[in-house]
Amino acid sequence: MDKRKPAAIVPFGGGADVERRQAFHSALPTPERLARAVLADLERDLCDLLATDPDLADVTRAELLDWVAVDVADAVAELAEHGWNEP
Amino acid sequence: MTGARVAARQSVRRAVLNRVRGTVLAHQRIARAQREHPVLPPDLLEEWRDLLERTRPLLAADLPDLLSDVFATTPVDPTPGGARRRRNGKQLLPSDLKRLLAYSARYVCHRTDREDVGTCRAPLTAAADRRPVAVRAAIGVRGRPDGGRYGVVFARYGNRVWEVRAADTVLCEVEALSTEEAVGWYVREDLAAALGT
Repeated sequence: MDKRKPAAIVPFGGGADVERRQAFHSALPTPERLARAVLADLERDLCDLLATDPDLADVTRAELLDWVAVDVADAVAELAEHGWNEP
Repeated sequence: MTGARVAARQSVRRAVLNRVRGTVLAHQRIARAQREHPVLPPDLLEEWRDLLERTRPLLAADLPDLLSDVFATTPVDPTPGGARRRRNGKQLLPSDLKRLLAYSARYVCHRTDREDVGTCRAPLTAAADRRPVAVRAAIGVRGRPDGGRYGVVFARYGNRVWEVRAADTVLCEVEALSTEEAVGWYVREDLAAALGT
């Protein structure tokens, strides 16, 4: 909490909470930027996988797309559920 | 699914989960927010979920093009680099290990000389003679270097709770961890290859 604004003088503490939430929101990347970062890294890893992984030799584009779509959705869902609060 | 298909499927899943979690949590702005709020209170968690909820469709929409680019730029080689195939779907080859090592602290590793446990053909059981009853491991993909020829890797933050004990030792208070729960296994030589040693 911002030490310059003790909770006692903020009515119901609501103002400070809204400010904190807004500050948090603006500190995070936009969805577009986050998606771009993930996709860039993912593309590099998938190229590497396809070029080096012996078990992926005969995987088709459609098959890989199905798998990756499921895995990306699961990874995002897991991050959303726990945040970075580690169990 | 055939053995090779299972291995392919597991390899892709491992790589994608590692990458998506890793890139999101290591993003400069997100890493800074983590430092400021080590534990997310409910209202900020809601904000975080909103960000991911809005990111998810953007990712899904771009995946078809991304996959086309990947296939267009990667040379098709039936046996890439003349590499050997995995003994089973859980085997981590040097290229897998390099990717996991980039986010090593998000994994724990139990090293063993037992081939059945070390190759994910048998569950990893707690040592019978130690208290508390728990599976012991070390933080990071490498595990304890003196621990054995095989390394069995698990996600540090998943369905299981790994409590940090002395130094980098962690323990999971269960009698056994099934082979399905492991991210994968490796042999010492492949770890050395991944580390370039």
